[in-house]
Amino acid sequence: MELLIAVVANGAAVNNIQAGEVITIQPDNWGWTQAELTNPNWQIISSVDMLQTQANTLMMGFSMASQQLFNTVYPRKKNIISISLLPNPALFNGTRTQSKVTVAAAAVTTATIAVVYTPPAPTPIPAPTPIPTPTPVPAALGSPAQIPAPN
Amino acid sequence: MGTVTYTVGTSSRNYSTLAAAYAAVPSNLVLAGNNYVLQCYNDSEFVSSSQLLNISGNVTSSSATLTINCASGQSFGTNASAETNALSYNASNGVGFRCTGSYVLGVFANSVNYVTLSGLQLANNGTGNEETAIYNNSSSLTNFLIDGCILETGTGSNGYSVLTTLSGLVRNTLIVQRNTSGVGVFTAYPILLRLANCTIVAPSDRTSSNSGLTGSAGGATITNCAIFGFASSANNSTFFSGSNNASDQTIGFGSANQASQTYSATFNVTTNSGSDFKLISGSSCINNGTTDTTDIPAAIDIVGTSRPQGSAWCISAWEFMSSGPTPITAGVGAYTWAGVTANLALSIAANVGAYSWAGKTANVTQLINAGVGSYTWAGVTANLANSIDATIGAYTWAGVTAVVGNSLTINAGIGAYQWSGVTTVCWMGLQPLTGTNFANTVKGGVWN
Repeated sequence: MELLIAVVANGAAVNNIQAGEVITIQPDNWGWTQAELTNPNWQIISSVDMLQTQANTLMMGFSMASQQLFNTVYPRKKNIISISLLPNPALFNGTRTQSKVTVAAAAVTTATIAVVYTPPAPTPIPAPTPIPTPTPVPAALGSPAQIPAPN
Repeated sequence: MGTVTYTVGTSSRNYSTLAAAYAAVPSNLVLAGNNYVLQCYNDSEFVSSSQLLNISGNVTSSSATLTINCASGQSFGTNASAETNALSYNASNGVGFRCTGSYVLGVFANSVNYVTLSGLQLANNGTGNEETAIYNNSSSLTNFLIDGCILETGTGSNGYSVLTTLSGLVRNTLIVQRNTSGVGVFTAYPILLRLANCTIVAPSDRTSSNSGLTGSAGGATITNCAIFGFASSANNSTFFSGSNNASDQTIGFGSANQASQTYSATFNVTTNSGSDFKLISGSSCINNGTTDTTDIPAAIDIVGTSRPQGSAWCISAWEFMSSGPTPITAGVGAYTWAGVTANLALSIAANVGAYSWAGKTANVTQLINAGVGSYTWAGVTANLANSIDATIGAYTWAGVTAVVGNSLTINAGIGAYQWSGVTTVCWMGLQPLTGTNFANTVKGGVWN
């Protein structure tokens, strides 16, 4: 199989494309376009002994719907390739000197690492403002003094 | 602001996959100062066992947008035969994206503002859970537009939904749930969601156990949508509002609805095999929609047909054209019909549908209209004094049984009729009419 991977991140956000992220996986001898063969931010790994199950692992999203919280940002992929762990990492840095780099499937697997991310805790609901203690009701006034009878 | 267009197809285009074309788009479109268009070509179907596109992390604005559409003539909606092709996912008709793996959360996923998906076909044919065509878990997206698309999910083990979106506008889109346990559209915080002129269906032979619309909070507006084939139109009527919707079930929300309609009398083919969700003549969706140029300013349907074609907009993604886009006219002469040669003395036009006439089935694409005159059909001569239209049902005419399979109606105007020299008798409900003269216009009668 042939893996088109990003060798640099395209942004700083957690859900931007990350360095080592697999963009797409295609069959051997795929008809890549000129832009795909030459983009300096990408590289193509040719891994002829890669199984579909390994490819699926690299393309797996970070989480499934049943595990997702709505209105929460997640990384794009569950796994990425750590370029520094590949056999010849220099081929993935700097100027793109080869349109494709051949890497055995086992080496790709060795370089595959899980993305670790903990979504931020939801903003806590502020504690309610305490209700002020009510002012005590004044004690009942005494009975009014009797008005003296007129002389 | 300019517009940068990347073409997507085979190696002759800019990019061979949509994911690569998207990866070439800068993360900050505002900073780049451009709108970006990923323009797809139907060089071949885009197939993968995993998600085909995840749009995330981009900074956009009203003048720095991302659009994914098709080049001219490359979409099912701009196909040369768009008006007559079956309305269902078919990559032969236009650009199609299909996922075959299990647990694929959306053929496409989107969490970015100012994104438009137009004229695309997306199918998730996975065999496991979480099957969706498009997934968006954010209720705060602005200007997320799904326009004139076909979205489908397959018959996997456990369906989820065809479309999961908490926000956005979905218009002129066909949504087909083929899984018996899945829903059509799922939305959790639907405050910003609007559905306009969408067809949301489960095939009639899949016996769905779920709802066309499912939500967990209120706010979604549903207008001119047709929801058929599900166990219920919505899981909770209080979550939805709108008007002029149609269903084969009751509709507990909105107004001016066409509820409890007959599924098979609404669309051309409702079964899982050979699905075709174009409206057919006689459907309650025809001319019962409301004008909605707020959501659909161009006033068109899923294949670009102008709305309305009749007295009002049709409900559903399809706008029904009674006369058809390219009328067929048959002049005087000999024609072969289902293997039988007919000598036709006058012109006819035939409308959409499959018809059996004198035991022979023929597929007709236009309304049959027979004018006054003499006709020979399959060896039987008919003398027709007035025009007729023929509709669904079995008819005996001059001793020959004819079955008309489409939902038209026999309309016999006032006057004398003879068919092959045999006097006709027509019943109308419990008021039989006999003789050769009709006192009133007869509709839905039986001839013998």
